[in-house]
Amino acid sequence: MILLVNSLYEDKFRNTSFQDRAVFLPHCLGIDIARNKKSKSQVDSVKEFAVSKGYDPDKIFVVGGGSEIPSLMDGCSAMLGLCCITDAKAYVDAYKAGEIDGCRLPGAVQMCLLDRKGCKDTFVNLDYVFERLSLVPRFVENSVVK
Amino acid sequence: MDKCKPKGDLEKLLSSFVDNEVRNNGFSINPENPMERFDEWYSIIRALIMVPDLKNYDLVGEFFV
Repeated sequence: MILLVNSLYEDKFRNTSFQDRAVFLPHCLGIDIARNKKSKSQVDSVKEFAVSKGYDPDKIFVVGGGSEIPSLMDGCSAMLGLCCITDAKAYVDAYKAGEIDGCRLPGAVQMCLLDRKGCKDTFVNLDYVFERLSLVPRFVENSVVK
Repeated sequence: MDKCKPKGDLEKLLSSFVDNEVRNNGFSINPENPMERFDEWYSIIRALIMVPDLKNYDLVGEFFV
């Protein structure tokens, strides 16, 4: 379901500049485990990678849940969200309806599924997140820089 | 950890479906509303995954999340 949504919106997402994309990260992402191991959380890893690619740091949000997103997505042309299956289903339904809580959704979306729901000790496949964050227009990807 | 990792076969299947069926065979994506025919395509892909010769429970399980 999520991969189909990502496929359908991929071209629109590719054609939105990094600066115009919002990124939504869940507060629970690997934080508890990182705290115990004193290592970097996955939230920090995704933030660092996104900023290094040219994403606007002011459009990278750590949220407590999907319900916080509508108030933050105003003015964003595209969004990438890391979410559990519960929030993913809510946003698939919202995209089918064209809005959520009366707010118009950004024109393109990409979703990356967390390994579990429950808002604790969640993980995401970072390789997949980095690949989605790095999507650029196909003509750019296909051009060979000499 | 691996549960959230998209499997290559499913990505290949979806990519092939979107490229061949959606873009080339008249199932054009409405740029104003890419989700317009989501339910129809979801059903088609589900059927493709579940035909007996192609049945792969990993793919089926992954697609339904």
